[in-house]
Amino acid sequence: MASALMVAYRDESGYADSLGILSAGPLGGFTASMVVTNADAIGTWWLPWSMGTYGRASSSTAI
Amino acid sequence: MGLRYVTGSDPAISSTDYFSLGQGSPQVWEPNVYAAGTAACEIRIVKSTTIQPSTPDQHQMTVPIDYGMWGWTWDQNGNRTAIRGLINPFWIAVNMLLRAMGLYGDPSTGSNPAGGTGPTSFAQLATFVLPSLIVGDGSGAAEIAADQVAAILGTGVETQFQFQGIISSQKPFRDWLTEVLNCCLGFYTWEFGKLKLGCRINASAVDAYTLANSLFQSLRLTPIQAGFEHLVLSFADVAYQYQANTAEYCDKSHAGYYGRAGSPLTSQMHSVGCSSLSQALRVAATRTREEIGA
Repeated sequence: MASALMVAYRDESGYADSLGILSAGPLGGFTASMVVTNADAIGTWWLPWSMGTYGRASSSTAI
Repeated sequence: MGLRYVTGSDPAISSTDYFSLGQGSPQVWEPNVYAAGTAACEIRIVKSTTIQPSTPDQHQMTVPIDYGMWGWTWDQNGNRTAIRGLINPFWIAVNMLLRAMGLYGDPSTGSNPAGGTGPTSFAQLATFVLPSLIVGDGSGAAEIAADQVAAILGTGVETQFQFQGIISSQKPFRDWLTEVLNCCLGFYTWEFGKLKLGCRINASAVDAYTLANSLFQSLRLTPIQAGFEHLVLSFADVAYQYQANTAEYCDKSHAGYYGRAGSPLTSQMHSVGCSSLSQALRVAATRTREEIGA
């Protein structure tokens, strides 16, 4: 998981758009979603997400 | 498009790698605005119709990444290969040097951000000692790191040393080199201006000091004064979504010999690249036994 350095955000009436820097490039690749099972055998669904004044939203609500 | 990834190739891909927020539906991005060599992500989500003006720093974004950065590797004959998501700490150290010297280029495309063709393998090989990394018989530092060894915790085998971490703060190259090599028992030196890497994997004697090769009464040895015998190594554990975890190793017999079994000399160390408890224990045990001279 990479925490982004937020560089731009725009709040519109129907959607919110945000842009963040993740790293120096080139990165090998991204994953849209994945289930990771930890050492306690608990599975977690990982999605890209953003959080702000609208609360927390994952890419599953992306438009 | 609600989710847009920019891998950060250099030069940027002109049709997709816009470094701006999209506007309208379908989205249109600011023309000719790119940040070549910068990986980024844009997320556009549905929300209530209420508009709450805010600044970017009031927001957070977290993105799962499949593969880390690209990097260059070589075989023992000097043939170069670009690897997607490089995890071998010794090759990462070499790629850090190449980046610092402006010889990294863009491994994902082989191009040169400065224009023209990318950096040649010949020019890159002139910056480090290749035989210190890869020999072909498994004795090179990079080969030792890539060895498949029995897991200390759990069953099966695992890669002996790998680097999974974030190189974020701005520090001198030499400091980062030490940090990266800390996660694989590595060391570095310079040989005729080239970076030479090694792995402290074998503590057996390679030279004998005897009457035959020493000046009479010129050799004086004193016992090693151990700075610690209990090491607590902190790292970001991949098994717990990179939450902080610690690996501990204590040489109880050494502490007991010096009469401090209940309160051994303790030291702490942070590893930026260790990502598993098994690897952290491997490093902590070896580092502690190095310290006490066991």
